[in-house]
Amino acid sequence: MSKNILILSLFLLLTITLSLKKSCTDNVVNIYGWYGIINREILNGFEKETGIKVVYDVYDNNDTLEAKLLATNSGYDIIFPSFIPYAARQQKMGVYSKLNKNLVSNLHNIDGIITEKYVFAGGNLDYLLPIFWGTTGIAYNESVVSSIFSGEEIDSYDILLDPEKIKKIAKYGVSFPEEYIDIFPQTEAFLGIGRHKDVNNIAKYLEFFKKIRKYIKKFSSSTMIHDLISGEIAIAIGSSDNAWRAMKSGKNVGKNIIYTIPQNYGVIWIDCVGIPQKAPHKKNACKFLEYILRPEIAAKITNSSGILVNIPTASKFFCEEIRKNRHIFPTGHDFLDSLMIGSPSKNMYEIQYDKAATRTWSQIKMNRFAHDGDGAAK
Amino acid sequence: MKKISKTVLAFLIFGYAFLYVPIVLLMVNSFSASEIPGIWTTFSFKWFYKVLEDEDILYAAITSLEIASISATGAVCLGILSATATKNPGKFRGKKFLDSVIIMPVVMPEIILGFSLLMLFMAAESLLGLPKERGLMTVAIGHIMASVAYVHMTVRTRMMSLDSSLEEAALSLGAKPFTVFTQIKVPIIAKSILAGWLLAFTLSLDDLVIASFLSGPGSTTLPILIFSNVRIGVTPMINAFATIFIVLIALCIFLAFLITSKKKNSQKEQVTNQN
Repeated sequence: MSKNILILSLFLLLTITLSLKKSCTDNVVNIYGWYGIINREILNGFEKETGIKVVYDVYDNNDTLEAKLLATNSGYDIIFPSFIPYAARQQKMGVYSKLNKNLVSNLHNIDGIITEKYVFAGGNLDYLLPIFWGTTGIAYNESVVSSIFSGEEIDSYDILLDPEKIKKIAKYGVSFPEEYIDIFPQTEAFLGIGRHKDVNNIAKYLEFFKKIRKYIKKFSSSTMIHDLISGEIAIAIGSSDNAWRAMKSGKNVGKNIIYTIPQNYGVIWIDCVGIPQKAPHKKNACKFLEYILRPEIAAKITNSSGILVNIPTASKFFCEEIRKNRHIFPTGHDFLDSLMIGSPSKNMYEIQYDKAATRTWSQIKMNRFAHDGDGAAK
Repeated sequence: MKKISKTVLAFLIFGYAFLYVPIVLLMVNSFSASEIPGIWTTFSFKWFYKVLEDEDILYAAITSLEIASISATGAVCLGILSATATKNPGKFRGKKFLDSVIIMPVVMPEIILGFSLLMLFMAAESLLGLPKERGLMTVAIGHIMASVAYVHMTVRTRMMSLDSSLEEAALSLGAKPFTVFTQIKVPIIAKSILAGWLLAFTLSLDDLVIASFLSGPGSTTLPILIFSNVRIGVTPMINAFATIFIVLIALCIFLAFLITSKKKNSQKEQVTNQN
């Protein structure tokens, strides 16, 4: 029996040794971001330069981040929320603290047409900086798609929204986005029913997706990379940084993945950086912000993750694969200007639309068209 | 020994395959050089090297182990107390009530546990100023709450079969209740305490829901990290990590088996000597 006690006390000992505090200093900066955006090398560089310890925690979606933010004190100093609709509404709730322009000397590095679009869509540069951006487009397996549509250039959403076309590619696997916001605007343009957030349009979407729902294999934004490489799907709607990762790992297994921004409806998304109102280490946060806003450091983020930094002077440090791919890294004032950016809902009518759209989209995803009209019209 | 019939054998094979084929596949794939899990190219150890180089994974693993051991120990302490309280013959009004309430977390969805605790911490923060921020301790508290029930059940079941005459004998010979508890009860129920500890430890190790509600700076656990990793495509690094974990756990189980089987032998000897 003494052996049992011995084992028990061993476990207790394990607990005590493990719970002994790791060398805890106050000189830290707590960052909460996506997995794999800012890699260890960059963080280590910052630690070495300033002596501030970086605690980097990860989340897997914006909702988790928002829950943490709204639950009083999250304890984080720097966070990276997506602009639409998350950061836009969080800012209105007063979650973010005003950026101290004296402490971050290179704030002006963030400039250019993306910033203009951000301000135009209602972003406030005093609180949140539009630091990362990318586009939403079509990623596909070149060999499969060209075998079906030989000679045709894939440059519009027709391939996915035209029932005749999607029918042909359906058996190779088609993936649609998880959220309606990444597909309804395109559908609107395709159907030619205007781009306003009109509740009356929703019944039309439902009617339309009834026709093509059976050709869609899955609705997922997060597993796109893996699905494209493993061959589970041949074509997907997704973001440019994920597409870039898919292209990179596709090369290793001999799959040619191509990403394209459709001519008829290119969409830009923006991820912001901000300091929460109750951040415990605001000064360190400013130092970190100053660090990642340097062009050469910012370019490292782009090169490792495929997400574009909104710093024009950084683009000369981008690796060649990114710099030369005009779909992954769109350039040119006119082209950029033609890309759309979503705007937050302003009035009750638009909020009503958001609610109805969310409901209808989950109805479509679950393949439940039985009580249409009723569910969608409300 | 009886011969096993063919149907039984078929069921047996099916059962074992159902349980172990996925794990074996996962382990086999960790030795592939391919970038994508599930596609075999050539044999290599490269993902194992990558795991050992990846600070984030190692840090998350340590955090997870830390939280798991703290919460398992906490749950064991509370579980023993509650089991003793509900089993003791003494007069205690809410005994039945406590017994049923304490196992509630077993049937309660984790998401409700997590959210309700988050609300509690928020309220506590605005009233008492504690906890200042969420982190290791809040996650551990959440896990304790979720796993006390399991410890309670294992320990209580063992206590039910406890011969109360031992206790009464010790008491009648003048031992104080506390001495009886530490000298008589704890040694007898030690094995169930150990089982409860391990159960709580495992529960905490693989919890994602409660942890993602209650975590704060510096407390990204392994499940949270892996789950966030999925977004940019899982690499066989996760397989390699899982393989390391499984081998470690298998070793532990083997050791535990060695220790307990030795003990059984010595117990048998004791019994035969007494006879």
